[in-house]
Amino acid sequence: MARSHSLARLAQLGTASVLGLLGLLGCSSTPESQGRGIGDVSKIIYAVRQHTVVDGGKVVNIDVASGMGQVMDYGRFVPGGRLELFDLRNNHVDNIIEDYKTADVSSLDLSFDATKVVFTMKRDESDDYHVYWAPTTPNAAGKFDVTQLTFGPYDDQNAVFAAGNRIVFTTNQGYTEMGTRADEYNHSRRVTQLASMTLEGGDADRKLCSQNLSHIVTLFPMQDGRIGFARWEHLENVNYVKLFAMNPDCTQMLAVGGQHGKPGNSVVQASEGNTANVFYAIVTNRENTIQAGSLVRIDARSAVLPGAFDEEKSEKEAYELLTPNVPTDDSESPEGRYRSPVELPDGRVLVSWAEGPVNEVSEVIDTPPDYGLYVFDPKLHQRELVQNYEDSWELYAQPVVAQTEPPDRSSRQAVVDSSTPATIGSIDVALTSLTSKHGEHVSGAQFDNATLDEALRQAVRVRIIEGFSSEAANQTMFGLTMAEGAAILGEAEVQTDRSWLAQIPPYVPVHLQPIDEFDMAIRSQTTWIQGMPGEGRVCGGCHEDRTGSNVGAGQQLTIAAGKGPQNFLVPIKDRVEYPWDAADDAGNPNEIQKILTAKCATCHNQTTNGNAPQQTYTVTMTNPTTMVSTSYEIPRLDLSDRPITVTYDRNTRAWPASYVSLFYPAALEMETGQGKTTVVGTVPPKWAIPSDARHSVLIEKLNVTSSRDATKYAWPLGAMFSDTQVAGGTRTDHAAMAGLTRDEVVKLIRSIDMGGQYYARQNTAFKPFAADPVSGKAP
Amino acid sequence: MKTKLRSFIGVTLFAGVCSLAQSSAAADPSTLSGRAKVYESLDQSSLEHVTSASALSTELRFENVAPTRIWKLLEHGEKVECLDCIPRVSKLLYNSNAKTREISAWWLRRRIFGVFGPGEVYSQVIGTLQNSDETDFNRAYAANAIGEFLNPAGVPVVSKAALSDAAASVRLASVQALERLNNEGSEMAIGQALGDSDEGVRLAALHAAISINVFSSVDQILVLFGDPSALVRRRAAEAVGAMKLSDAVMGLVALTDQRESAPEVRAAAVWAIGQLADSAARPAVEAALSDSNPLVRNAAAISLRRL
Repeated sequence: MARSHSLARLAQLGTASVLGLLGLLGCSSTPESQGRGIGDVSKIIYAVRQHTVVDGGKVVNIDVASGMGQVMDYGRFVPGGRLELFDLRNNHVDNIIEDYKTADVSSLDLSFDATKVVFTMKRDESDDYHVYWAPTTPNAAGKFDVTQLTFGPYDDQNAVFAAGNRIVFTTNQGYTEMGTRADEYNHSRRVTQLASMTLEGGDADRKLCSQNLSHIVTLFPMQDGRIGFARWEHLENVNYVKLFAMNPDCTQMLAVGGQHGKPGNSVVQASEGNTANVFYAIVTNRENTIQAGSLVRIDARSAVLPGAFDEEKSEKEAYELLTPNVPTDDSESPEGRYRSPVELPDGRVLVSWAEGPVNEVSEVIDTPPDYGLYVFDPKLHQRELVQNYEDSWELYAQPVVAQTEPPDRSSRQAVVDSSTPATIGSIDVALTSLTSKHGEHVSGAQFDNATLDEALRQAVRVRIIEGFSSEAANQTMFGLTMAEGAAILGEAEVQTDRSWLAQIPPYVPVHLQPIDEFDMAIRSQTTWIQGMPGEGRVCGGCHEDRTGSNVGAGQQLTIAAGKGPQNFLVPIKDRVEYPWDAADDAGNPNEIQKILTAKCATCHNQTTNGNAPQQTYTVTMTNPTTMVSTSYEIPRLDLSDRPITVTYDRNTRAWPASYVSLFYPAALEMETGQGKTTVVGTVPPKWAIPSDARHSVLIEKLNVTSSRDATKYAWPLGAMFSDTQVAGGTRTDHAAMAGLTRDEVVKLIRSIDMGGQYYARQNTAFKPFAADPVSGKAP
Repeated sequence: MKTKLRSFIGVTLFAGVCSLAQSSAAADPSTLSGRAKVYESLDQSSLEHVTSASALSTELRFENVAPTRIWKLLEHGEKVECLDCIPRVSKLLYNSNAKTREISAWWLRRRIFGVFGPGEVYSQVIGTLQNSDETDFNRAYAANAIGEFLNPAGVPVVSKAALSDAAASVRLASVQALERLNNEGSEMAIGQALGDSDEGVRLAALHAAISINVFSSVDQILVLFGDPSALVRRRAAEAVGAMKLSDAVMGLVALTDQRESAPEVRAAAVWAIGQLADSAARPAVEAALSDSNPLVRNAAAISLRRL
């Protein structure tokens, strides 16, 4: 194994210098239990990972970004990895996995007494990543006894210790009735979710946690007994990685930071420092930085509640960039990039670092970054070398120091039964900090820049929407939308004290929409929430102030609690979906096209649009090589099911004109505008905006009455339309004129508010697995 | 990322393009719909940049763009309607980098126009797979693309290739395409592929069998307990455990003793027995506690807790 020149220089400095770097005073080989963050550092442990495969003296492959290639990667494998214990007193290095010459190691964590290391290893190319553990001292033969804890045809990674010899890790096994979640926006790759087991039982005690729709990575234990992790939040247009925490029994998944501002897109590789709820992490782009970025300290401590974290803190309040010269995006770095920080007992940070641009420029010049181990001093902003091999990456380093074992939180939830519901609800749905702290307002229909506090007082129900992705609908994107697959589990009644309570299927990610008397969402929650079997997750309100008290609107027991939760534990096949067209069941009453065909297409079709001839606009593409242009003609408002001449998404059959007609105007503006698409003609109003019925001109045109007062309209009759392009000029009850019932208009509203998907499980011939993967019961 | 010497001139040129892309990508969305609406209360520095159409069409012209750069451009351009970019991206379906091919197909399948119409990209890819005059590489890459397009219309095409293409690499890619399509294939092609003469194809079929929603040929998995390849035997045992095929317990027992030469197979069989939780196999698992290989003993200790 070759050492770098830097390390050679370090060797010249002598052992004392190395010890000095780590603050070693009176160092002992026996870990002392002096509380987390206290104690000497005489050894460190880390993984050595390869990036270059050499065969016969010739480089055959350089791999810095395989797997899924992003900061959530879990698949990269290059043989020749090591798990090293480095004795800083004498520079002696042990390789714990020396018998596994072709292995790679993707994570590690020390037990709280520092006598064991749990790590994830793939033994060779044909293997999968699994969880192993080994003692940190060798046996009499000088070997480390390696024990495998998990098996099977899937990857288990990111393993960390929790109190009571529990281990929490991630897995991509099939954990739903739909198989492994396959986030379409991650190319339908298999998504990692959380699981736990015991050190003694391994796979025999394997227990799956409730789920997110996208990846969960880089777990870390917390002083209060929780497990922290980085979670890719992908909910419609939301797309970033932030910090979460949960109990080791998978209950109470809560955001820790990053939801209300952070210095970059992705916050990953966090660890808790010597002070509770103060974290060290990496901020970077989601991809293209070889999983490295700028070093950041996150002070998530609540200013009001001792011992608690406050996820509402702003970027300015919580984030301190310790390496401000390192970009938090993926641009070329003038100062290298960092990975995997851990605070040492003396307040400095043990971290991996590589010099150079550490982005795609490293790749294009075939020069992999060389991550080595360093101690970073946050006060002096200086970095000093600890260990670096010139041809490998040294990662995930931890000081071999005993810590106080956190309290055991593992006994609250022991049910493994997907038929036992989770309970969710609010004490007072109008309690919110969304306006006071985060500046959100509501407009559209009856609201004109109203505060959320005001608007939520008009909530009459809370819509609970299950999310799924391509694992379920057997489809790719769900239409002209960035929204995931969606099904309504139910709409819980908001009581007069503004409380609500509902039982929902456990494990399943859901998001909520408080809805008004017009059945339109007041706000669409942009975070997935979930619960374990039997778990209660009752909030103060709708994103209530995390530092305030949550007082109900009248009495101690809410009305919803007094009445008992509404039961929305519905089998998959019976959940409410709104397939746009071609439902598998021809009698499906929620197929949107049926409504449009019956009530709208007579006037809005290929030739006519209301009282006028149908208009069209044209988008044109030009092949830059052949200069051949192709044009696609889109009707202004054709609500028929006729197959129009264009074909979109990945479907070879033509799609109904109604869907293209309604959603394409919004799709054109979904990101940065029209790009290089040439448009000839007038693009019509945004008839339908995914997840936003309130601003969808179709709904405004139709109008809708109150569920409580049939004479009250969402948009007052006779007033001007918000978009002057709309025919007629002033608002009417167009739905009534067209013969649409209120129930039918509500179906259109729900379809749009849920994301405007074309596909659902109910028009894609979806069949769930016969076995219950969560409980492990055989079919 | 296969190594390939790239010129300094290319790097310099590329860096110039990068800066153009950065400035373009940093521009705020012009409307408050979609992404802009969701993030209106957040600082733009919190968000990832969206690839501009000009960056897509400009940067993809060059030969020496790093794969990670291509992936980022396409991923961040998931909703950028750039019809002119389609011909450039469609060339990447035949790139030597597997992930570049995958992400290119992903971007293309999300396009509204220009891909799935008559004579457009999708039909061209179908034609490539069906054309025996094409190279093995191109046919295999075409099968990859058909899988990544996730279009059920591709099932018959890749099913046929999975069973009848002369090249094992094409058959393998076609089986993988069926897995991506979440479909066991016409005439249960994945089940038939379990009996392919090529080890790689059989392994791909085993992987597909435990990944798709509906798989009807479970009996074919049990046949693989006698496969000459230890890796196939191991993966077959793991598949049985993952699918909880209780009828397979005796076959698994036969794989647990020392007559099975590969310890990885013995460990997989012992683990699978634990997944089936069939106490009839307890003696075999207890015997495995004395196996010469420590990983088999680990698996036995864990499985016994389930029996």
